[in-house]
Amino acid sequence: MKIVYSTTLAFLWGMFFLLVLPGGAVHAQSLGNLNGIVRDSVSGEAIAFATVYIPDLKRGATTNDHGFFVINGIPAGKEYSVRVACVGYITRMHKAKITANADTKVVFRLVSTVIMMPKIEKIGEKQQEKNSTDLGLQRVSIKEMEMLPKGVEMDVFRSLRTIPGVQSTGDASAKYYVRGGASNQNLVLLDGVTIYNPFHALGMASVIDPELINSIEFYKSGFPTEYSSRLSSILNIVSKKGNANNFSGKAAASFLSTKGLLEGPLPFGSFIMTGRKSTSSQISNKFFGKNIPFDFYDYFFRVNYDNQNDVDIPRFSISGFFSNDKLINNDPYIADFNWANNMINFTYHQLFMGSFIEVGVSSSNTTGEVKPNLSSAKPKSNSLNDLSIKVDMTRIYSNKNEIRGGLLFQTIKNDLYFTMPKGIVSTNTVNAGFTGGYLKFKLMQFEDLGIDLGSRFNLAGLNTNGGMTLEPRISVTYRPHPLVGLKAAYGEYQQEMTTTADENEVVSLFEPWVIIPEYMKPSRAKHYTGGVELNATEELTLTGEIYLINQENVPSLNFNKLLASDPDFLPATQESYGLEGSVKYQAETYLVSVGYSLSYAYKVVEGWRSYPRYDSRNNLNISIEKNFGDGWTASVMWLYNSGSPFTQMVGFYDKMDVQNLFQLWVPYEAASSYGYFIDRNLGRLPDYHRMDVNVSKKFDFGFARFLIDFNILNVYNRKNLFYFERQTGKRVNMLPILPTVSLKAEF
Amino acid sequence: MRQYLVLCLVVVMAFFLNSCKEGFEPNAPFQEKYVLNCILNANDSVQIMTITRGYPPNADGSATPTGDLGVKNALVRVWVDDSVYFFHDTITERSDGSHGGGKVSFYVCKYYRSSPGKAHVVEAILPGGKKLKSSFDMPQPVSITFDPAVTVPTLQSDNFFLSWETTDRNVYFYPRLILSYKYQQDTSWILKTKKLPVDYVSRNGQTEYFYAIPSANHTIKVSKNALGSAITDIAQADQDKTHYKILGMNLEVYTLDKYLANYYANTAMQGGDFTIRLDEVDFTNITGGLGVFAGYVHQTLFINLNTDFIWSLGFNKEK
Repeated sequence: MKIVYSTTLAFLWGMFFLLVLPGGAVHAQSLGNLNGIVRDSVSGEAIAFATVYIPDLKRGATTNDHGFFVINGIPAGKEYSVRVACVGYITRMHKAKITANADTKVVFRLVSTVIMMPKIEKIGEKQQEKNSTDLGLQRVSIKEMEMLPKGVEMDVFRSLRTIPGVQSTGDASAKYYVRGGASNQNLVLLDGVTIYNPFHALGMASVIDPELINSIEFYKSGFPTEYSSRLSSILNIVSKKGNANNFSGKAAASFLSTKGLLEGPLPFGSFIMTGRKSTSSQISNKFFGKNIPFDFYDYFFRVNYDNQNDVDIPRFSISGFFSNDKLINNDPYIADFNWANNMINFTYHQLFMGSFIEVGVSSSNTTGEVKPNLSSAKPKSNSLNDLSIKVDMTRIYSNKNEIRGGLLFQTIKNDLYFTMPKGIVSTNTVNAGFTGGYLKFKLMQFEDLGIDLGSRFNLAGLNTNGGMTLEPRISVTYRPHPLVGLKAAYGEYQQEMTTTADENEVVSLFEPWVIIPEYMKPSRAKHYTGGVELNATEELTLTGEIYLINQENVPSLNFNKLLASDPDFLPATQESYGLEGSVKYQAETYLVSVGYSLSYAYKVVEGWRSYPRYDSRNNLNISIEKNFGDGWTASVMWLYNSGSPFTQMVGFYDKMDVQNLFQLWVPYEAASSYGYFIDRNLGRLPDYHRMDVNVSKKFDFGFARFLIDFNILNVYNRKNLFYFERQTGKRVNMLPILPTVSLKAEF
Repeated sequence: MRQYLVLCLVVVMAFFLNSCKEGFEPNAPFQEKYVLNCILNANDSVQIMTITRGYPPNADGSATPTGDLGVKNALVRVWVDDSVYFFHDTITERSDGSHGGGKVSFYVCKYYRSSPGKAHVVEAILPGGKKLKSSFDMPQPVSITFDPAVTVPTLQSDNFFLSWETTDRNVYFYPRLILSYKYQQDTSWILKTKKLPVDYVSRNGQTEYFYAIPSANHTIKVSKNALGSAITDIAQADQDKTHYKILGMNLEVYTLDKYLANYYANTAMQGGDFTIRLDEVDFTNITGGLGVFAGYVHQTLFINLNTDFIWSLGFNKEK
């Protein structure tokens, strides 16, 4: 404990030193800094990942999650033209005069293309920072998501399926698997806070309503040091702050839910509230072939103290997110299900002497319960309370180099009651704490070279078996030619929590979380990634990536647990490797994207090697999006996955039925057919493919703007196999052709 | 606009034509496996064992077992300490109509002696030389912690509890309550029994009873009203309850060894109505094959029912 305390203190002093010390030439004669924030011209919403570029100097920066940017070391005494651009906004040129030895503070405002609603609306604009160390990173904009076929309703997780390297195991589930990793190795963050059970209605939709989203960053691998606690991927969702200038609202309805949004100004700030409620469980007929009485809601609010015109003033926000899912049958012979997420978050951030400082205090809680009533379902209950305090500091020097560091203090209270596959009940109650942080250096001073080098340090872990550990990471981008970028990344990652997920369950309601037990070490992974980016023309971008991911100490549910003293989990090793390519042609009014991945994954448990169920070898997706003008847009998307692994049966036998032990004196008559199998997942399901089409129209009517969306899922009614019932041989297919319509009104 | 529509139509049509069903083989080539099932009852001298063979799936992957799947002429022995019990094959007619009816083979031993707490080892050598082996420890009898002088249920309490103790770990208990009563037919009294519930619910005017199920719990909670309702049912339409005399209730506790407990838990408990599994998790403790070799101990304790409670139901109690 003393070591943890002293190391933490030393780190804080070090960061303070770095922040207070002037950075390089920042105060040198005739140089000045430009920093500020990019906002939406109407709502005042901070725009994340916008590019701010000074063509005369060929220098620029990208705004962070909160819309902040910093460009230091600019020759002073001159007024510069600054180009500010972002997908979904009209690119705009601003003027900024740089004063020597001073920070020039600016607020740039961009006009949304939605507001302008031009005759022909530009799909987007290519964003580029030449030496950006962004290997494995996908930035997904809501505008892009809106263009793609949405299915029943636009969904963040389903949209990820179009990204090469992201797999799914079926239409019914929004669960995703990234580069051979398990679904519980994906971290879902809302405003930096973990959402532990992010699925509604048996996984049909994510709990996060797209209406509340400002920006999304998705790391497939090689994620930087500021992210921790998962081995596979990071989905970082930043919420909107709300319209700081006018009150406005949205209402929408689909076959799945109705929802609403209200936002508006407050004295010195803004607020936003969203809410969504399931309307009908009829849609489950299409997904599962039976009407499942699910009932869900999610609510989100955020209140901000945010001066629109002053960059220096500290900003605060308080946000909350609450979701709940129920399956109540009113039948004592059927189990009831209930699971929920609750999150409260306070953040403080400030631009201070050219540095960003962010402090966050959050509480994230998830609970879940299966009440078997009088059914044969296995009882299950889980609760997890996560209280975290985070401090992040970023110092950007005049030569564009950055130093960034942060600390995380976390306490977790975890209760679990569940039944192992062979019937043994397992219970677990743990109170644990984590102390750790990260420190990194970002070399950005060279036009054609960017290096992000750092490490996480874990001083005290949730799993005390891990000891003090480091997670070194490096990401390098080198551009030998203006059109060609070469990228490479290496990183080590640690995960101390897992779920009791049974990968043979193609649909399960919720996955209980548990801290990795003390008889195992924390899971560790190493990511080796390489990539090339070719910007052939202004419109055409080609990318290719290869990766190798090794994981060890991955908890694998012990299917052979017979005794209470047997471990619930066995340590597994996993390896995945593959290559991915994408082609994106982005013209004035249309966008063509092609993504392909060739991937391999396997897992070894107690010397037995098997393919995980999401190990689909070839994946291809093609999407074409077209803007016809006058508010009309259309898109077509085709997805192809080669067959997923499954376990073939080699025979049946008469399994003795012990439901009624008192009739065991005729065991040969108390029997039913039961299958036996070859080694796990050696067979392959048929290939999956499907085409979805979307046509949408925006129009003004009265005081409101409407968006009506027509979608057809699986237009050629492909019979993709979901599963088949072993005893009857009955084939159950995934979604058939499914036309849907949704309506959204904005006022 | 028109050219885009035509283009989309062509693409869609192309995929329509390409969406025919493809071949899919849910099964790998058949591999024969042998299955030994034997649940030894520590309280019975006659023990039954089945040794069967697996069978291939139908072309569509479904199962249709037909005929006698039993393996005959195996050398089957069970060792308990220095004792060896031989199981001999025999044959009988199926009474359940399954497997297309006909004969069914099984093995029987008629001179087994109860050996609680002892290790039991089975070895079956099949005619082709294949060996199936397994072992388990027969559970110890439990100690039922119920004072025979006490009667249940009292009129003041809605529920009562019945408990037992054991030193064995990893065992399951399957309790049940059996009512003993007499029914007067003409001039003679006939002894009858009835299985009693531990709880009940009323749905749509119908009463549904719930019975104790196997679990690791050492206690069962019995609802007085459920008990009363079930006892009342013995008279059914008979208005004259003087034709009935209540004797009392037996608490039967079946103590299952760890393998039978796990086998039960594995086969009887499902993931839930909304959980869809692709593979089934199977349980076996048979080396060289499938099935289960396990055992249980059966104990009974007579429990005196409260006279006031019986009278409150309109019945008489035999002393």
